[in-house]
Amino acid sequence: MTRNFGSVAEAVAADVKHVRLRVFVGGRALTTFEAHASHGVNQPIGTCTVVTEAPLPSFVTPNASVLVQAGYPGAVRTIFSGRLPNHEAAISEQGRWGRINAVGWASLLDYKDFADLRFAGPISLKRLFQALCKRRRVPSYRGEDVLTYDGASVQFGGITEIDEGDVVIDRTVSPLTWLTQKAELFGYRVYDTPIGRVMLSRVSGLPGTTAAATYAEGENAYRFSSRLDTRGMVTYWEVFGAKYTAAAGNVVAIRSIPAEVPYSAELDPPGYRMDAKRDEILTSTALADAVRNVLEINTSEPSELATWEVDGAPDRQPGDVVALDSDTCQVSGNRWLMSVRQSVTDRTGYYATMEGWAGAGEALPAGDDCESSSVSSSTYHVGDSTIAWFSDPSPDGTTVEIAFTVPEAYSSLTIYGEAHGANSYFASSDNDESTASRFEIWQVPDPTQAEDDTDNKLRKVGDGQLPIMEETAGVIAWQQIVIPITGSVKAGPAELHLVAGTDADTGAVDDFEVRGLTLVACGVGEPELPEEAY
Amino acid sequence: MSDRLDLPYTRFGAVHFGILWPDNSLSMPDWGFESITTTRHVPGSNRNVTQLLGKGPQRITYRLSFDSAADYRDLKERVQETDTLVLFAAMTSAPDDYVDLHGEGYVEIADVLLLELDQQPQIFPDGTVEANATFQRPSPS
Repeated sequence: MTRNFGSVAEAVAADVKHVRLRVFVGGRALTTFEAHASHGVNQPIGTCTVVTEAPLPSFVTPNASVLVQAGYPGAVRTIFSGRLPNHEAAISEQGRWGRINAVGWASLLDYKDFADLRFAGPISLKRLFQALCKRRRVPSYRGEDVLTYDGASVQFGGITEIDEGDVVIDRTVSPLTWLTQKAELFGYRVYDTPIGRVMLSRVSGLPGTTAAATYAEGENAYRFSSRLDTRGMVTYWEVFGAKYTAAAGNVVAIRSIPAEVPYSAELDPPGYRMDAKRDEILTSTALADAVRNVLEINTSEPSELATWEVDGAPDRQPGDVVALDSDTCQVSGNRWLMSVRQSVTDRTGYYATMEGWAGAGEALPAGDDCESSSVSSSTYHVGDSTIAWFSDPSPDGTTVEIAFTVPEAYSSLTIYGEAHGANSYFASSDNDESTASRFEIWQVPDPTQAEDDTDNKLRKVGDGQLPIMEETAGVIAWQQIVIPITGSVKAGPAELHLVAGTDADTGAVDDFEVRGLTLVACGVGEPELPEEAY
Repeated sequence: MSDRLDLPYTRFGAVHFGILWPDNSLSMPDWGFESITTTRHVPGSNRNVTQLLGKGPQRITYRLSFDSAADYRDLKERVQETDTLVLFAAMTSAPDDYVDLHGEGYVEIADVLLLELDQQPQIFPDGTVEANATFQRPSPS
């Protein structure tokens, strides 16, 4: 009997485990031999390569959505979500192979506009991130409050002598490049995550005290290495910002320098190293000071980067804090998880290579702002069969509709809860005619107005696919679910539809149960869409 | 030459052949499959982790005896093709359709791939031909 695991941590800790891999393109299952996904805080766009048979099926088309789920029975998670800019097929002496090269959703931010984008200042970097993601229809994104070392929100613009107080994103720069550059000034990063959410989050200072996982020599790491490097050390930073003529006629040149440069034995002689950073977005000394302080914190000590390889961990996201322990490499304590590269192949198995950075200085304030609200505490049996051993033997239908309210403003929606039995047929079949069980969000275009049959008709505005949840008949194996909702959902009334998929091999409708559904909205705050300058 | 199991209805598609007993063996080979796994050792510990990646296709290699070179050539043309393989029921564990052919029990195994056939067979003065053939079926469930 195949062992079902209650969590990813339990599966990773097991000495014997089955491996699962399933790829969906445009919502349809694709026969897959290999998948290689790569995400990192210094890699704004996540990538995934999938190897399949050639010729490619007709549903593999440019711009199709790509969803890769991997893991172990009972612990399957999304390790890539994105879209398909290109694919290739080849025949050679080695056979006929198709290769799909997918990119994460941050790629939607990675092309230039035909005109400059202009935002009324002062405006926070978080709002700019939200506005740019919304404008490019990034399906799921989440921005933390971008804070300075002393906890103040980072605001751009507002100086009337510079672009009339507006923040202008030049058309020669893509929004992703602009956001990445500005976020890094303050120790933040913009990057894709395996679950498909584009993040703006802090990766600076010392990592927090709560670790998402522990990786240790002699316990779960097949390979462990670390490198201590002084080449990136800088102890004397000068930061230069905007230079402009103030209303009074005086020239203002923003500049920040340290009062005193500390001695560093690692850099002796001369005992220090100097570098400079320049950015016109820094229109106040306070902003320039904040950038200098972040740079000083992050580069004042030798950089320690650890690399390790473990069994595939489908729930790890770059930006997590993880605990490391290696006597050989003299690495101990919490680290920022800088990158996760996951590889699943039909012959060599499922492994992940990760990188962790120790950070430096002190732990900086968090800028998270999530709101949680209950959608329903009931148990729902979605499907069409009466199953005696289910919690709720009688089916509630192949589609179950639950009314709820989307909070006032948000940048990402995630549904948490428990489920069992969903999409189990995908564990043994890759019939591309099968459809997956999923959550859908339905809403009218203007939620402030009543539904009608014409312009304000109820329609699907977002969705998220349930993972493959195998179980043994007669034994309920509740699993935690985390379903990021992609799409464009507005504040106001909405409906959550629990939709059963269909197994094309048997023609049977999927039967599964869900319970304790909770909605978590993050990045609260109405984004301001830009004005385009001509 | 090995002893030929004289079974008139063993065939692949329409091509008839006999199956020879393996040398020095009192039993016939049966379908086998590869268990695809990978095991890695966690250095600094006694821990070994095995990932189970699934089952490979079922395969069997028989030494076939053809009544004539023409029969051999017919089967040679079927390499890399899929058809029904008919075997004497007593010499296979494959649980497929059982048929009684003139008082003898056979099984008809559908969707069998003729994976390989010796390209340099043994040809005997009496006109018979011997060659190894490998057949393949999907993985066991």
